[in-house]
Amino acid sequence: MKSFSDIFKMLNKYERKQLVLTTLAWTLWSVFGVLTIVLILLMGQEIASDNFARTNVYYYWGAIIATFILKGVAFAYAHSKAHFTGYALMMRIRNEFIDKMKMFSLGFFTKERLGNISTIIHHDVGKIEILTSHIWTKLVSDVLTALIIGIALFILDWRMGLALISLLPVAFFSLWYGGIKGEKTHKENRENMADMVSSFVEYVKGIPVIKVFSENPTITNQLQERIGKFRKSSKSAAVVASKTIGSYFLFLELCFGVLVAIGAYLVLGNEVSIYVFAIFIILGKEFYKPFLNAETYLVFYITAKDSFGRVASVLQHPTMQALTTSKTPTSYDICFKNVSFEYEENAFNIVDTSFKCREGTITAFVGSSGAGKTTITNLIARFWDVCEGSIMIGGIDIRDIEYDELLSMMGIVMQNVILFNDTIAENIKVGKKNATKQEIEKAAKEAMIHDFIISLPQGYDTLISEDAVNLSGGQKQRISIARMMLKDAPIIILDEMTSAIDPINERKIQKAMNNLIKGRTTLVIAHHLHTIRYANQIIVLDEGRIVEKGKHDSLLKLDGIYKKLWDSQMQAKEWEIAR
Amino acid sequence: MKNNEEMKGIKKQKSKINFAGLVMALSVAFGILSTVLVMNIFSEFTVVRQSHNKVVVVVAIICALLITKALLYATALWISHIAAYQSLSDIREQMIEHLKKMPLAFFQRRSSGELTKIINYDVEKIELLLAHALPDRFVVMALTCIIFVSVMILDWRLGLTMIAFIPVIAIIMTLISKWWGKIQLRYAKSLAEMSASLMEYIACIPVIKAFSGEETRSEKVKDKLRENIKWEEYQTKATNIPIGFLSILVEGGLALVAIVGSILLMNNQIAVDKFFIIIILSIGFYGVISKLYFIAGTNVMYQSAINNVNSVLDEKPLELVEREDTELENYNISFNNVSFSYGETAVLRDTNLNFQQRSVTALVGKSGSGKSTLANLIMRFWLVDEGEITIGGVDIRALKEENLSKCISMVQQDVFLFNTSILENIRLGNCEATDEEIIEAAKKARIHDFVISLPNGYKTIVGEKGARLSGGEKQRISIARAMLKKAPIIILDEATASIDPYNEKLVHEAINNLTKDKTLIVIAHHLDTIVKADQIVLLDKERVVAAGTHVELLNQEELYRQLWKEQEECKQWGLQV
Repeated sequence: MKSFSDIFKMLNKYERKQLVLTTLAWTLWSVFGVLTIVLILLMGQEIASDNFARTNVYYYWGAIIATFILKGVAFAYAHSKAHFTGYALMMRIRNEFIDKMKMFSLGFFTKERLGNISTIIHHDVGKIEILTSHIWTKLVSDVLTALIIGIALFILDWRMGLALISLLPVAFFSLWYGGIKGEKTHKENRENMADMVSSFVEYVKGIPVIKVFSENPTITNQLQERIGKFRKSSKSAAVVASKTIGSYFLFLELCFGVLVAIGAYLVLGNEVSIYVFAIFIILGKEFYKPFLNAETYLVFYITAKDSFGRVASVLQHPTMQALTTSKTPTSYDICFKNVSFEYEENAFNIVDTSFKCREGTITAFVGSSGAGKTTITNLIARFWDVCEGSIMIGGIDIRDIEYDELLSMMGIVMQNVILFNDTIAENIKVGKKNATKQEIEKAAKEAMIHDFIISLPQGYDTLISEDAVNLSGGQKQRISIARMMLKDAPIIILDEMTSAIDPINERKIQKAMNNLIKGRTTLVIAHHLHTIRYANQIIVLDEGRIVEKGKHDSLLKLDGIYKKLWDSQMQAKEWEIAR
Repeated sequence: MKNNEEMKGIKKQKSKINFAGLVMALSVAFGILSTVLVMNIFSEFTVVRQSHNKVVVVVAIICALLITKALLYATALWISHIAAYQSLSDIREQMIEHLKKMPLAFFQRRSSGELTKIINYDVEKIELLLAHALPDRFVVMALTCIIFVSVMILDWRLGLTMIAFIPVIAIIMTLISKWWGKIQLRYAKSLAEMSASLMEYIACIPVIKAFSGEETRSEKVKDKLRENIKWEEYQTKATNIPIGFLSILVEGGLALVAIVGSILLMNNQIAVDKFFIIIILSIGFYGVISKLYFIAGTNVMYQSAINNVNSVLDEKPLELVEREDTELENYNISFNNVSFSYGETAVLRDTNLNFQQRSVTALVGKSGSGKSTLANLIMRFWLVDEGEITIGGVDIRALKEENLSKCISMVQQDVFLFNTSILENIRLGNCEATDEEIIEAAKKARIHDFVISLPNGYKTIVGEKGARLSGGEKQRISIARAMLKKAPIIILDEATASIDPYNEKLVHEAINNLTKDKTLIVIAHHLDTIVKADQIVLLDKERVVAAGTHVELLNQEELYRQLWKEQEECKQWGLQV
């Protein structure tokens, strides 16, 4: 029940108060319902008695009408309150998500994480809402109602009261036991479901490949097999659940049977009046009601527990620490001092690396994939923190600079450009909130995208969405460069594009890049060596270590790894497709 | 609920679900019967003092009824769940069968996330409908009838009193449900907007983060959240207040029975025990009726799930003319007056082209000029709007799927590998290939050495930790796959692009091995790689501008000259401060 209290802790004072009110309203709703029945019963008794007063019957009428009106009011109140509280809670958690996400290091946002977060924020938050505002309030009010009825019945006659609860422990035991026994099947079922889901995701994503190799049924078969497996385990889980619920209900029903038998016995022995017996029979039904719902609550609790775990895993993920005193660098030299970094065991790492990038110069990182080029730039942007050594900007350790300020010093040009569903102007304005029209156009011109934008019918007001304009990769890239121009950050981190672009586009990007890096400290993750031959410094990496360092010409003279890479790339350029 | 008929999966299980409903109705009926019997004991006591023996017998019968009730209930759950899961899996399989027939365009229009959501969550929701809502509906219908008839037999006046409010409730319900429908629509719209803006926010978070000091996005999303909550609250008020009122009416029915009953009692027109039995039956009756509006509420949810599933199943698959089992005599490809548009936008207009068997054709042009579309049309990922494409003289629409697939292989720019071993990923090219053949293909694709350098070799699972493949490695695996297929026509979709410049040479060798003696169609950006092609097709603005050799195009076409010039300049460029 640990997560039970964890979920409760997540609620704030106001929400707890609202939930208590909802619970009370639900309880009133049930109690009024029982009261109506009791009143009808008492009225019947009154009339059946030998000398009844008509006025008393009229009082009963009034009381009965009053209870059912109150019941309706309680219902509307409880229902609305539960919903409103739930919505408020959902909104609060979602807002918390939105704010929290800004406090994470950029390294948090991997592609799969982003996918998960959107499920969590939609699906799981909704589950928690239902659990707290609907299930809990109902559950607690059910228990309260059962308690009230139970106590009232005990006061009426303790012997029949005992009969009322005689087999309840057995029933609970069978539910608990069945739950334990069913856990394995349930878990297996969930795993099969996860398999099926991932298989389907793969199927849809891989559809272009599946179509090319459509005579090959392997992938489709695998998916169908998993659907079948899930079907089988769902069925056996259903069988187990039916057995558990069946035996639980059996004991509950038998418990009622015991009540009837003992009641009959007591009435026959003149120990209990017939009316007490009747009240027990009718209210006993109401007493058992919450227990009949127990199974639904339990099932829901289990799924909501998983949801809560996922929500908590995001909300409790460590964020970047706010600093008490943030230092601001005045110059923008970047310096690595004996930096070591290990991401999980042996996945990718940097070993004892030291180098310096002077302000306003270009440093290129060269090496085959896995050599550590991207890791180095990610360390500068604090996707992760170094394990040993330190990284300094303008002589200040980057961990002593407020994270948002650190990011504001950097323009990161990524391979995959993310654009918002908004106008082109707004997309460029992301770089500077208060940019004027002139500033935006100037940035677009420098990014070599202005001419294209004004060629569109709606110019800068063109909406970027999936189907509105078909922007090519090169055009998107130039829009993102325009953004960087506006941001005017002193440090530029550049991941060179590797995907195919037609030469006309490529030429424009090249010009835009040179405009962008003018006067800034630039770090380039280089793929094509010929693009970085004028760099002030080329750092050659191999398995996380710096193996060569220098300018293009001196590295060629060195006749080492760089020379080899250069030669192989030059050779590749000669290649032609031919018979 | 008409739409249900379209889903085979539901239809097949319908009788079982109804049977489960019947069993469940029986179970509830037994419960009511047992209570009536209890009241019978009660009346035995009040009217005549009966012997112990008779009471014992009745109590025994009651217990038997209660046990049967529980058993029936479990049985109903059993039947309905098994039928429900069977139909879920049938629906899923039906969807996959259907998806297989869908053109590629369909998958570009509907995101993988959306499709996954439908096949997982929406189909799962149908489980609730089948296993719970449908049997419940059956129970409600059966029980209201049974109880009503019983009460009518006991006392027709109270029977009529019991249903007095039903017409009023029904009228209010029909009037309100129209209004509710409208509110629901507005609400769904605001929900979709909120969801879309939230999704976008999440997708764009890295950018937002990178510009955190200067962004206004999160406030916009919060506004949408607030707006959505407003609608949610409005919808809640609009549904709950009338439902509260309705519940008063329902409860009022019980009160009315009690009041009318008490009048009859006072006038000695009904026996006390009958009165109590009718009260108990009425409690059961209204208990069942009150389930109705919960069912009505959940209907909306099921309906939207069913609509989503149908939105996939209703999509039309490719319309193929006639499927012949023809052996193709040659592999010449020709485009005769082909036009194709994607939605409203024309992508290819009035195109005539010939690709000779065993020749190399390169498609060049700016991004968006229609190069990839042309290749996709040959693969029959889409069907032409006008004209025809033939292979060996046969219209590709008339070819059987496997015959068409057999003769073309494609290496795509975005390589997709499945989450299985490298061996199985290559084997996709030909499911009958032996391990030796796969290794042979891998060698020719220049990926063998890399694969055996991995700790698990060919058994390495792609995508798992430690098996991060670079773009070039993935590409060579996909070339090995294509190699294994041994198709006479090869399409390279920007496959020569330098995904992994450090290993470009290996990719080149792999491609050379793959394309030997094949009809080759290359979509190219780097003009210098295709200088020697037999035919270069230059596309611009959805049209074929020219076709010829490199020298011919260089002499005749301004656009080609420009592309060539820019490319030469690109080579000279370098990042410079």
